[in-house]
Amino acid sequence: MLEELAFVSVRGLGLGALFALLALSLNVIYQATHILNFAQGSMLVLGGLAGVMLSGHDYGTPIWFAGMLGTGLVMAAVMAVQGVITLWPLRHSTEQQSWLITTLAVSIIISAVLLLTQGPWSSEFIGEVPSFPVLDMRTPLPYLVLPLMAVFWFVALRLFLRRSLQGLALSALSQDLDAAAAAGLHVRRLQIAAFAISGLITGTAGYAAAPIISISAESGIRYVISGFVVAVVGGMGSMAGAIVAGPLVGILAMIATYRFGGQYQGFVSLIVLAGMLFLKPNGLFGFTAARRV
Amino acid sequence: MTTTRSTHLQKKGRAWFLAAALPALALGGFAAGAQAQDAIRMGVLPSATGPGAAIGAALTAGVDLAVSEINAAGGIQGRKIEQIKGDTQSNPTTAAGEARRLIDREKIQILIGPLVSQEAVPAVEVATAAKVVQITNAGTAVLTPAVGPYHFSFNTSTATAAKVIVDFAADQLKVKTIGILADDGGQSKSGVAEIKKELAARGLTVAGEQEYRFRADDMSPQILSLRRANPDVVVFLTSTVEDGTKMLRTLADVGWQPKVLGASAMSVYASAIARSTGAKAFANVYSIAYRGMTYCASDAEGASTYAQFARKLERHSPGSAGKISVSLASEYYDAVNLLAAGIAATGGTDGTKLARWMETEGSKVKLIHGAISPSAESHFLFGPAELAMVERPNDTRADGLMKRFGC
Repeated sequence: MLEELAFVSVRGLGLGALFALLALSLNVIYQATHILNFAQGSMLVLGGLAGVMLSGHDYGTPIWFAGMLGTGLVMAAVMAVQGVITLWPLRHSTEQQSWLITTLAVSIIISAVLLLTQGPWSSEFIGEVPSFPVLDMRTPLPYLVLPLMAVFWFVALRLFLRRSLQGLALSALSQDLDAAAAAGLHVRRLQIAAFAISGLITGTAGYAAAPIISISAESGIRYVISGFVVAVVGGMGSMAGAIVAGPLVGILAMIATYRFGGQYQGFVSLIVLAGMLFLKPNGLFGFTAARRV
Repeated sequence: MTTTRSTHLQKKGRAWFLAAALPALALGGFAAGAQAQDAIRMGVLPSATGPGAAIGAALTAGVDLAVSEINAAGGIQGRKIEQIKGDTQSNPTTAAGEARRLIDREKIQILIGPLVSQEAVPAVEVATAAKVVQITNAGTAVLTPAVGPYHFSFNTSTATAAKVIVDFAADQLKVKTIGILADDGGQSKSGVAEIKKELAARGLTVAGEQEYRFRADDMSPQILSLRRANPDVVVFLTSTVEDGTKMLRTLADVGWQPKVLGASAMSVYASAIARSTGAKAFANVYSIAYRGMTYCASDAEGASTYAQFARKLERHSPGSAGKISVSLASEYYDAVNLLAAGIAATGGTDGTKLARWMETEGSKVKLIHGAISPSAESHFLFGPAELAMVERPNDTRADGLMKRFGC
């Protein structure tokens, strides 16, 4: 039984890392704009679709990496465009809630385009998925790649936001948009850059996770909810919170499923969310109105 | 002068005659045209969007093919079929709303769909109130003739499927303990309940039971939990290619190869699943299939009506070849032809007459799937005699048929 618990925990870590990556990408946008991007799950699915399209050709690792980088860059561009669309109505007032509609609309449009171009069927990763041993069982390689990717993006974001001028400028936006504008920062450009960075993270995550996620017109909403739960549990806007909460939620859900049954799989993450909101509404690493810049 | 007056009268008479004849001719022409244009309005209600869109595409393809053939042949007693389409969006509430829209606003006379039990149940309520004959694929035992007197299911009831599965496990595989792994859909829940009833009746033990979310990301906790229970065989209920693929891949990952008994979806999706898992994953897999989709060694290849239908479907829907479930499309092709036969026999679409005809005469209609067995007691068109077990359902002959077990 201990072996099996360890095995499901490794799987939970992998899935949780995917949710953590989604939460990181949501937080990047949230910090710069205070917008929750409901299209994030659909963007993940697009990244996964790129991974599926390159499957079955046995290209080898260098091509796989090149594909991941290419997907990330393309998704960065796509999300930068989404950023322009989402932020355009807000140019006169940041108090509007039009982003609720525009981000949801983008999610629906992506679903519709997928339905029209790919059909209603889910896109399956073709061919053998490399795996690694866990005790005496095997696990697909994405369950190892995703945690490493989550750590990579967390460290990269931390260095960027704290050590680079552009990153510091983005951090300033998260404190006070008006003050940042008054200080001469190009707020809109920085916010669109935030969308692009988010696309880079989401695109590479979707590509790497292609063999294990559901890639279909209607699966985007499921992933954005998982990412949102992790972002809230970790503390909205907190990168450290996302990187801790993701694996925590993933592992708890998998262990609960193993011990009590599959009907608790989705239930557990919502219980964790509700419990966190009750005990610590700002999340594990969230805090109220402290200036960091 | 007489000649002039007589000519004038003749001309006037001709004018009056023409004035009277023309409208009569026009009315007669209009009536003939009206009769020719008095199309049969058939509602078609698949899940065109949402999680069930893949199976909705199969329904649409099968219905389109059947309707185009019937209309090309002149329609049903001169009346063409006009399709009025809806979309349940894979949502039970939307399914009921769409059924109401099709019946009340679009004035459909017969209804095909929805497909699955959780969407069909609310839609059946609407169709029953309007006395509209309806064919779905719902397998839930809730839809009895008392509940849905005008509803027929191109499926077997979950109770019948459960009996076939459990009898096979006990009599052919000689097992004593069963594990159950099923998705969280309505039909699967109904199936699990029926399987447990049959197991109790046969004195077999449920060693473990697990549920997974439709389109699950990971089934390893469920499968490891079942492995710990060590059943002789695992009964697996699924609705998608994706979940079937995930299940078989996870079995390989954890190094556990129990015998797997699948419901009809496993047979339907086997080829698509094998494209991702490889044929080896099906080494210990058995599943239910409709007899018309199976063969014995003595059956000539390519001769079956199912094989012929598969070729027709590929020609009709070339863009979806290999993706649409041929089995599901064939059921809806048969559904349209069954209704067409009933309308021709009863002279119309009157719900009570048509339903009665389906119960008493429907079994005589030649369909792709061979025999069906509706009755006043059961509106499930497939009874136990129309089902067979197959081994390695991915291993199909060139004509797409699976080999019957023990044959």
